[in-house]
Amino acid sequence: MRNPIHKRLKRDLWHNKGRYIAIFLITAAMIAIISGFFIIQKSVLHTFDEAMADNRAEDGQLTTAVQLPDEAEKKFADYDLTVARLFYRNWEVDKTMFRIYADRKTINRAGYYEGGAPQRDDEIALERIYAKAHGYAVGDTFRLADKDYRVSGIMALPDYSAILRNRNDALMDTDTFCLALVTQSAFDTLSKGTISYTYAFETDVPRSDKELNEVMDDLRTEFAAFQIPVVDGTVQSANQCMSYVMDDMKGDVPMMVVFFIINILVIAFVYGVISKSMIEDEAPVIGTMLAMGVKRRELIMHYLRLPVAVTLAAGIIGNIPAYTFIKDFYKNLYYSSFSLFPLKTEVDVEAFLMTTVLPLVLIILINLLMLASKLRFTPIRFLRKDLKRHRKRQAHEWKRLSFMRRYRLRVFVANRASYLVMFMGIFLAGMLLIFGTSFKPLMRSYADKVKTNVPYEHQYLLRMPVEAAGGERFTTVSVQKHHALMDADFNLQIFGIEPDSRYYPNYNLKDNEAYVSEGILKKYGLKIGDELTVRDRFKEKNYTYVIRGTNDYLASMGVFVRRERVNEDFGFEKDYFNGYFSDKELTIDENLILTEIDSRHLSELIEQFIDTFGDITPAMIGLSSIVFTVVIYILSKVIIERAAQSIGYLKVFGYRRREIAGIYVRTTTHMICLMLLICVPLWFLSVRPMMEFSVMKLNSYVPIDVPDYLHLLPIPAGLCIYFIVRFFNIRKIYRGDMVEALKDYTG
Amino acid sequence: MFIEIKGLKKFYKNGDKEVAVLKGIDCEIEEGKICVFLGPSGSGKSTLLNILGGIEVFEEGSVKVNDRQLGSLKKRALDDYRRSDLGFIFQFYNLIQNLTVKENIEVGAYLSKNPLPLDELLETLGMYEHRNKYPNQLSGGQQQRTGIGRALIKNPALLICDEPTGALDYSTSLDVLKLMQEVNRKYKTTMLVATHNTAIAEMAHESFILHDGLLVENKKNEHPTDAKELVW
Repeated sequence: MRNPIHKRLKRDLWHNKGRYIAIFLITAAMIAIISGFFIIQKSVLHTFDEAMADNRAEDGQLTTAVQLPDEAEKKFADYDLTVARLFYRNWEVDKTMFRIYADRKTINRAGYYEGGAPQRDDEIALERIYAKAHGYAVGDTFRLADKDYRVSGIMALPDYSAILRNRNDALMDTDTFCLALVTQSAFDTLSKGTISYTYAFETDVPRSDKELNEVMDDLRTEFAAFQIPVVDGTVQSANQCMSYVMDDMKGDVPMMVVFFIINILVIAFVYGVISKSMIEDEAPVIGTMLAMGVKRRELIMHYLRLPVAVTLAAGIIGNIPAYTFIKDFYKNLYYSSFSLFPLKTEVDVEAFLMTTVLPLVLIILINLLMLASKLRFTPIRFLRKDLKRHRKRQAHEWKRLSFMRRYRLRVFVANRASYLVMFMGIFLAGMLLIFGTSFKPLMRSYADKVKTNVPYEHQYLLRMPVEAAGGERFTTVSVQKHHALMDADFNLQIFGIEPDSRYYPNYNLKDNEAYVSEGILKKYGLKIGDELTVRDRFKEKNYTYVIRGTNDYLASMGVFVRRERVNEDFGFEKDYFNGYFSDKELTIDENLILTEIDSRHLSELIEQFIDTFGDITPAMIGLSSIVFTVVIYILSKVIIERAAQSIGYLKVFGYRRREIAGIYVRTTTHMICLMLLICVPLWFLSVRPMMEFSVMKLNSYVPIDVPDYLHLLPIPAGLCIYFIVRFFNIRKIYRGDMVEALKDYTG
Repeated sequence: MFIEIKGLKKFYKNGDKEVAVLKGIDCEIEEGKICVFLGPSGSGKSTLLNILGGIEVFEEGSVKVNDRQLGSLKKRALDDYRRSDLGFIFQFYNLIQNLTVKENIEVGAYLSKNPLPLDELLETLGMYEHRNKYPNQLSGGQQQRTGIGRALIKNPALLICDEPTGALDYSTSLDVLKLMQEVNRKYKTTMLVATHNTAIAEMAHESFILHDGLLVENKKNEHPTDAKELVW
């Protein structure tokens, strides 16, 4: 026979439907948000892997100064490499960079959203993000180099999942960088811009990155015999245009998981408060049942049923919006930043289990502990409603306080558990609000600093050393440094500068000394005087420098060393250089420029980045409002409901409504105001680390400058929500039936 | 007369049906007397007391207490009536669980412009040493004394007692009844007591017997017995 006491669960659910609906909604919303994220994350990863395999993404590429003769090109095969010409033309018009390729038939084939590859010489396929930003669709006319083309397709390229002009760039250029494919014959007729002789290759035998690099070094030697220098080369894993998206997506996971767990914990504690309140109200009934022989274990299972049922329902139902429209939010977030292949959404069983099982486990665990603690008393103590741990203690008299103040204080003490959970919820909701509203100002401040902290107007990265009057030479190399907390490698940029640099003066660097950008110190917890060890992962060599000082270079994580030392460390010739700093534009053969950066361009890229993440702010504000509302509503309602009988007695005795509200509602009003005030310094202390953690995955350092006033924003937000809830609580008090309050036959 | 009831009728709705709880009550009560309402469960005793206490309304008849026509009072006026003129004692004490003994009594004191001295009352009730305890730290008798204190501290004109000894043992019940009689003699408080214990009628000045919503008998008692001599 089923235990008949479980029949009351449906009635309890119906009777307290407001409360359980609120908890259900917030739990389902959390699960939808997290599940949606994991669905897309997994789907994108899978789509990405499939696209890379199916479309034959390159294993590496080499760029030569001039086109290789056939005999030289055949050398690739000698090293078990399948090669394809990935020549492109680059030119800039009104700040937009056009990079045109001939359609790829073998390696790095395009994937199409609409239409297909160009078939005629007057057809062109455009990269999706650029096409969308500028309103191009299949069939439209696209003007390029004074010629009109018909758009044949909207596509993505496996070697440009991150739209970076230069693979060492920190920020993507989704608005002013146009990638396009034309037919081979159309490409051959193009004369505009500089041509880049890039050869993409696949390895026919399994090779590590180190081995591939060694092969590339061998090819350099081979081509040198033909008097053809190799000006650039990289393997896939070092090519941020191909690897950035995966690193970025994986970096989001820890934050989302932490966010999810914290929210579920708050919900678990809310359930705990509700259960505790129920037990105290029903103490004589519980005492009767224990006296009759009902086991504690059975009662614990009974009180766990509703939280488990509501959480399970939220888990199942929360996944519905996750699979319908929430995933689209994340999809848009990723697809507006990255040029990915058409997405195939997959059912993510792991995400479903995590978002259904994990909340259940946490809620069961926390409530089990709370219920076991609360139900440990003897039957007689339940019958007498004597459920205080320290029974022999007498209450404080608080002689100096007026009766009403003492009454309010007693209400606070009796409901301190509820207020504690309310405090946790307010703190969390406030954090979400500050985080959401500070993201844009933070990035805008970063953009301004990037612009002002760069001491030069132009930075040129060259394919090979070339003379240019007016510029200051430097050598630059990309290296990596492992970050223990993130368990990831970040790219650092070594700049070998002149001893008498006019842009970085007075450094007076000794042989193994370095100035580093302040971001490196903050990110890695280093200080002046420490050693900085970086790694060239392809040569598998470490390089160590002593930190002599710091600068405020923000465009990347920069390590500034004597050029001589860099050339020596990295095997270049003594006078080698591959870049210029300058205050004016330099006259350099365009074919020899790998990339040109000016500070204005950098801040424009950051503006694009800010726009991409613009959707986060309303989402975080929405989420924060939900948490505020649910926590304040449910817990203040619990407080009023617990006092329903006492409120009824006061009505019988002739207390006025405002007097009753002055006891039971004003206490909560005072507590909410106090909590908001206490949270302000806590937000000041905690928001910064949280934001630092959230931007830690970026391959640069973003100084966290959250405007002070934003830390106060949760106060009016929380109070607005509270006063709405307060209105409903006072109405509940006014409506209570006096006669019902007297019908307590349980004593 | 302090209390005058004429043709009092009270109905409850049970779905579409109307159930008559009081079917026409007529009675008069003098000021300063102890009156007992006797009758089995469902006879309408508690309902009658609730009406006199201004916490339930009635459909027909008139009820006048201390020159106030309760039928014509709006909600706010009824609140004021209970606040200024009434004290309540309940079978299950109905104390506020998170207030101490002293504070539960202060709940009554707060409503009065001239409450009785609190510490003196606590002494009279024998509760002074327990004043800082919570209700769940007290026996039934102690809780009821606290309830009586809460009702008496505002020195009400009318005390409404619904089964005040219903949850107590004989000895404790006697103590409570003695206290009530003492208060009546000292303060001339009019007391209305609903009970199913016929023995209590002997200490009352008048008793009314209700059955099935009707007043079937009333007896005056010229020589009420001392509470300490009651036996049941």
